[in-house]
Amino acid sequence: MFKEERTESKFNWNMLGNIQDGRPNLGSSMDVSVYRLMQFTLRDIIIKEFDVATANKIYYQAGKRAGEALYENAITKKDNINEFIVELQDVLAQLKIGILRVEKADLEKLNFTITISEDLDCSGLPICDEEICVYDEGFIDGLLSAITGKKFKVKEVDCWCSGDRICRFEATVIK
Amino acid sequence: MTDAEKGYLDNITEAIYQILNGKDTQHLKLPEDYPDNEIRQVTSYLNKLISEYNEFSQAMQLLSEGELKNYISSGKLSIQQSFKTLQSNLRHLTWKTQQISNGDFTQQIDFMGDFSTAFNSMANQLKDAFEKIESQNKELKIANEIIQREKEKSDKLLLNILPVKVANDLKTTGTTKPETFNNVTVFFSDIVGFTKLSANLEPFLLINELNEIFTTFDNIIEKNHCERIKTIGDAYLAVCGMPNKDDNHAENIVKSAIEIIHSLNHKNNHSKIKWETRIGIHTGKVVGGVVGIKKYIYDVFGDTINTTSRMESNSNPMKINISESTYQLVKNKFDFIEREPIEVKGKGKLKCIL
Repeated sequence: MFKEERTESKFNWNMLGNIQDGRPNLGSSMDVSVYRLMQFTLRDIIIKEFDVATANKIYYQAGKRAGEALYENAITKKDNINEFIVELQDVLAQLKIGILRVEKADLEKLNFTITISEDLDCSGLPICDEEICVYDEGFIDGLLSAITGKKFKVKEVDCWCSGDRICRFEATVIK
Repeated sequence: MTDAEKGYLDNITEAIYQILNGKDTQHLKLPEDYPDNEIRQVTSYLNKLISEYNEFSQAMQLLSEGELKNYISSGKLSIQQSFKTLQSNLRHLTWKTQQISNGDFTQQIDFMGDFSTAFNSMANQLKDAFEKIESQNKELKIANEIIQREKEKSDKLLLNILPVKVANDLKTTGTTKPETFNNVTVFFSDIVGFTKLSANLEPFLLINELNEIFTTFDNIIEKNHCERIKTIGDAYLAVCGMPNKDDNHAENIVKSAIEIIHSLNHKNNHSKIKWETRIGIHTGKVVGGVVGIKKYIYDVFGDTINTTSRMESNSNPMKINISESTYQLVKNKFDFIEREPIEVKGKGKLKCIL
């Protein structure tokens, strides 16, 4: 299941398991630092074993798959993009992933400017002049691709790590 | 400290003074070969501060004017980061407001303290007000539909008792003026022996019979572009050529009369009760107008009406008696039998044609 060889994604929501049954005492929440511990040690080793480009590619694709899975399993408003955004804001806040806000949404050209504050991945990290939220880029790509049925390119243009308080993403449809 | 160093220190002091007093501040310049000492370091930091401060000032100026399009570049100044967050929040609020203005009242603002509470309260109140207006609009629409249906009913009723032109005059202006029409052909009919026949019939059956006969008359009259004016008991009065002018008024009335005789014959062939009618037709000048202010009736007046009545009373059962004036208009269109001139009460001898 988890360790099968594969050429295509075999991830499904059931792989997250029954957390209430499995963690009756500790529950479904954990410290953000633990999440980041996994994120950045994983990134560290991938870069060491391969390179930065490979790490970014893996993180983007994993994020995209996560976005698609979240859309499939946690989103109910799938007919109207504005209703979808309202629900997505709620879901991301409830799951404590971050506070999503939309600065611009051109529904004809399918261009979006989206910000995430209090981001799970980066808010509070040391400032290092890098945009670090590659996983988030893929995550937003997966969500937008799922709701629109189009392919997207998502780029982080402002990040906590590059000196901002919020992460800003530009999402454009690939024609 | 050398005089040159004192001069550079004065420049640094002056620059800080200008910043603190809201004046334009330019970068400080040192000679390229100036040694790498504390003065150069302070000058370098101050120039960086001046750059970021100037950019921040310009951005704040634009923001104060409501301009949100231009992003300020990233920096490590705490005030700059706060400004960027503020700008982002304002851009988000602008987008949210646009969504609400497009009718999406589900939009809410979170994690912005008192502002969130106020904004969400406003959105909820707008939603309530919008839903109330929508509900009122629905009620209004239903009420309008009822009014429209009732209006159609009343229009239909009005058209049943008044000619279209007169009904339209009354609806648009509230009044209609009596009018003289010079070329009108009048139809008058009466049921032969109605009083005697009606005495032997149940009232319900009598009314049914009369209703059936006059409905047939009405259909024929309407089909031939004539206008039923009224019924008086078993008498039926119709005209053509008023209130709308019709060059074929005489032909239309004679045609109607022939069809009415045919229809009555047809009815008699299929019924135990046999009805006969006498018809009189005359052409001339008629005055038409609405009489009364309640229970409106469009009526016709003039000697032409009286003469038509005389034509009818001098007609024979199931025959059409027409006057000379009508005959002259239709003599080439139908077959006629000329009668001996008849003494007509108040008119002397009149030429009649059957």
